[in-house]
Amino acid sequence: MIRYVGKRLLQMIPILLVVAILIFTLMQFVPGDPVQIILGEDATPVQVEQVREDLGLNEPFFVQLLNFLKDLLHLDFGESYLSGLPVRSELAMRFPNTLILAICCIIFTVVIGIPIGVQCALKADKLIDRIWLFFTLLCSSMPGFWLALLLVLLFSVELNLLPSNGIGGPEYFILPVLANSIGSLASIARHTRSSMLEVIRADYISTAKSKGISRKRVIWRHALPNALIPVITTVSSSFGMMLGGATIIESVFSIPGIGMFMMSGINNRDYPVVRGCIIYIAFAFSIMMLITDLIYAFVDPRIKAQYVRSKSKDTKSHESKT
Amino acid sequence: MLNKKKMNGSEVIKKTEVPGSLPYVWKKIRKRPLAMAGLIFVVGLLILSFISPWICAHSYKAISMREAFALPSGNHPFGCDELGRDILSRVLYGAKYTMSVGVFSTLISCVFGVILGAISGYFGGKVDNFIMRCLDIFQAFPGILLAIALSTALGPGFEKVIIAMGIAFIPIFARMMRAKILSIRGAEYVEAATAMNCSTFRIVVRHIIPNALSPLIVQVAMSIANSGLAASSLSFLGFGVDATTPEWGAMLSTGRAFLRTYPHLCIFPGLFIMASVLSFNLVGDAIRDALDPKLKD
Amino acid sequence: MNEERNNGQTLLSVRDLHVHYSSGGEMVKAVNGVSFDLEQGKSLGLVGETGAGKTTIAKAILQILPDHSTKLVEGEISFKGRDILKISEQEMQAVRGKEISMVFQDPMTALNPVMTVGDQISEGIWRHQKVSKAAARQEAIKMLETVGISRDRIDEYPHQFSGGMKQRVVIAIALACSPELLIADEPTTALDVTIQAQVLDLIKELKKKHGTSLILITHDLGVVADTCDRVAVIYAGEVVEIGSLEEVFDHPTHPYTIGLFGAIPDMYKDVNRLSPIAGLPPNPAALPEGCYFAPRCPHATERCRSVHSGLERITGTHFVRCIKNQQEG
Repeated sequence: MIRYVGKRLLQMIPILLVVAILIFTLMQFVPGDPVQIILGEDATPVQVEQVREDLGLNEPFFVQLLNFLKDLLHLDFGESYLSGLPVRSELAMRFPNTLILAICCIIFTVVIGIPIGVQCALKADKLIDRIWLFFTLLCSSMPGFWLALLLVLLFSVELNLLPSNGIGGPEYFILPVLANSIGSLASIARHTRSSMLEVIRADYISTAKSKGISRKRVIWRHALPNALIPVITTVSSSFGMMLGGATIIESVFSIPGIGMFMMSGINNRDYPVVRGCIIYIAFAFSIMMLITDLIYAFVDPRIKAQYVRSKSKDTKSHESKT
Repeated sequence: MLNKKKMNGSEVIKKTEVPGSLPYVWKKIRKRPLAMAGLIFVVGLLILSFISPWICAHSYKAISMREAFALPSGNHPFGCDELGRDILSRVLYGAKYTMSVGVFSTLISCVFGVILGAISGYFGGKVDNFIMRCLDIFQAFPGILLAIALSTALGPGFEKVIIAMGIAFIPIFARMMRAKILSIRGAEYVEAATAMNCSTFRIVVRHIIPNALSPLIVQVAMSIANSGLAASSLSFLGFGVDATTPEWGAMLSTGRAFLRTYPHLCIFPGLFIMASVLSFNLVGDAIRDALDPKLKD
Repeated sequence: MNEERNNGQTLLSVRDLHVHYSSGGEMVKAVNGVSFDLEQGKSLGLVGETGAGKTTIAKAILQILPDHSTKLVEGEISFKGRDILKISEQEMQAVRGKEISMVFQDPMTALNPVMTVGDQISEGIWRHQKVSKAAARQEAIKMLETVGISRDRIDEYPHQFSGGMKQRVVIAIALACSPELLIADEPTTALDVTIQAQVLDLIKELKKKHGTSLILITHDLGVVADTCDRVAVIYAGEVVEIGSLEEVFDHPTHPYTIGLFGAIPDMYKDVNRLSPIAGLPPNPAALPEGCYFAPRCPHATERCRSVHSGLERITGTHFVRCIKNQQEG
């Protein structure tokens, strides 16, 4: 298992490297000149030239790219054009906020979404199920930022119960988490329902029932673990959606996280910031994918067996070589 | 089991009874009032959007500072925005933007995704490996971020948003198509076709694509809703269309500044985004249930 | 139905069982008035084509039909003198697995893929015998060895077993609490021919050892001849012929039964072609008027198409549902 994790981590390096190159290249096409933004409208051509030289923007594209990659190998994302601060330390400061937001969202989504899905499956085609189905579809059709605005309107403006921007105590996270997870929560509930419906028709559920164990145990001990296997993918892809949604939600609620940092980077043509943010998010996302695969192996013995088998195959081929 | 029996039976099979055929899907959708309501809403809104310059009392771009922030009234059912423009006219006129982003960007993802997935799944080996690694890179970060990065690079413009969204969602289609083709490629009827010396092209076009069609249709229906939602997020963030275009996301973006004092600037465009995404979702759901009977009983 | 009884005690008696369920918006009449008796220690074969309602009968006895689609279960199923259709779900749970248990058709799908076989076997023991989990596990190991699997495989998962081995595990689960009645639903259909014999022998051996009564569901007349004392032929959710093994096999009377015998290859006869029964079973959502078999019956007359015959005795314990026989008898 450890070997497998190691292998996966190594595989991530080239992907992240290509992501970095891709982003660097994309940023070259962005219309608008960062220097103009740094210096403002009334800069003299001499000043502009000076700053361009300082930032290394006069170098040919490939030299710039090479310098960028060289720095990246030392985990250095360069300095922000605008503030001059190293992007790495800025990211390290902001990332925890985004991560906390995303993790709270995931927990909220799973803890609420899965039981709703199970209940719907058990009451399939009854009125309560139909209501939930419609309601969850409604939720997943709602733009997160609009929900965020509505929540602010209700809880901050009208009721004055919860803060509408910035960070602080846990109460600052309630609205952002709600706004960012309702869509995923709905899709997880729906996916759990359909997966559960498929599983409760399986023969092994009849076997379990025929043993005389209680309904509850049949559902929670036999059906649910099997039904959750395909849901794991949905959960991990909603983690991605939450990281992406963080960009929007953070700017609505003014949370100093990676998403807001990236948005300001884009608006100011502050390329090192944008590159740093995207690479950070790509890294977090890849780690999540790896964790997903490990959870699969943990839940499903058939998948675990594949890893073990491929491992023993590896050692065998090594033995035959030596 | 019953369906099979019916199909093998001596009864004459009507077109509407062949699962997966278009008449069959249509028959199933017609039976679902919510899906029909969604369909009518989308089609009706689209028609209204195109004829709105002639039927609306106010032009979507007529500025009248006297009426800035006017609350909903008989004259302006949805009120007026910060420049005194009629929100109802803007919302109706803007419908075609949000809907066409969904439809056209899905079209782009679908065409390229299907081609890539089909090549990858059919030829396998090195080609497959190369394509899949490329897709890995595209999927190394969330789709919406990819769309943001792409539309930043492409610059402003409505068609740029469509392209950015279209590219960002190619991997979903490609992967789905590849998986489906891998499962079909091993099927016996494809082996039979190979044994009869069918050309590769013919096998792909005549056998594989038709069989991969129903999951594809489902994916398209779902994707239109998702792209519409993602596109409105993009313009909310200020990418794509310029702020004067009455695109719903963009309207929300400007209305947001006045949320505390004049919430009606945000409420109506948002309601329309939700209603049209919901409509696409309802139709998509009905199509999925019609094509994938295993999810029903 | 006044079936004559041997001196054995009746363990299970099913009277006029009806089961309807909904499928795709249609009402499917899967079981239409099935009656039969089973004596202590005996075995009954339920024979019929796929979709005739055999599995539904079995699941109705255990009351494990899917809740969401089952619309109607009517009749009387008395087990040891008590109508188990009338008892509560709680009471029924105490019956399932302990007094009546079931072996399912496809061992590939009948075991929970994410639970070790040990846990799956011991679960029922732990439930019914109110022992500690450790004791239940010991019991499960014993059970595993009884069905011929070595004890060190107890912590393995179903995917690590072959088809025949899985079916042994399923049998171990079913017999873990020594039930009085075992319902085996096509226990060998999904298995290789060589494994089939082994599994059948295992069931027979365990049946003898524990004195278990058996309902064997199959479409394989060879298996019935090998295992059962009595045979009930099921067609479109009805018993069309029932009798002792000898009565039915030596004097098949219903045209459908005769048809079934025509469709099996006989090693000792030199025939060029098997004679399959023409046509398909009726759609249980739209059963024909009159005799359900009439559309496929070579001897059907106008009367057959309008009158639905009852089950009539012809000899001893041999009953047939066919108006032709009534006229003759």
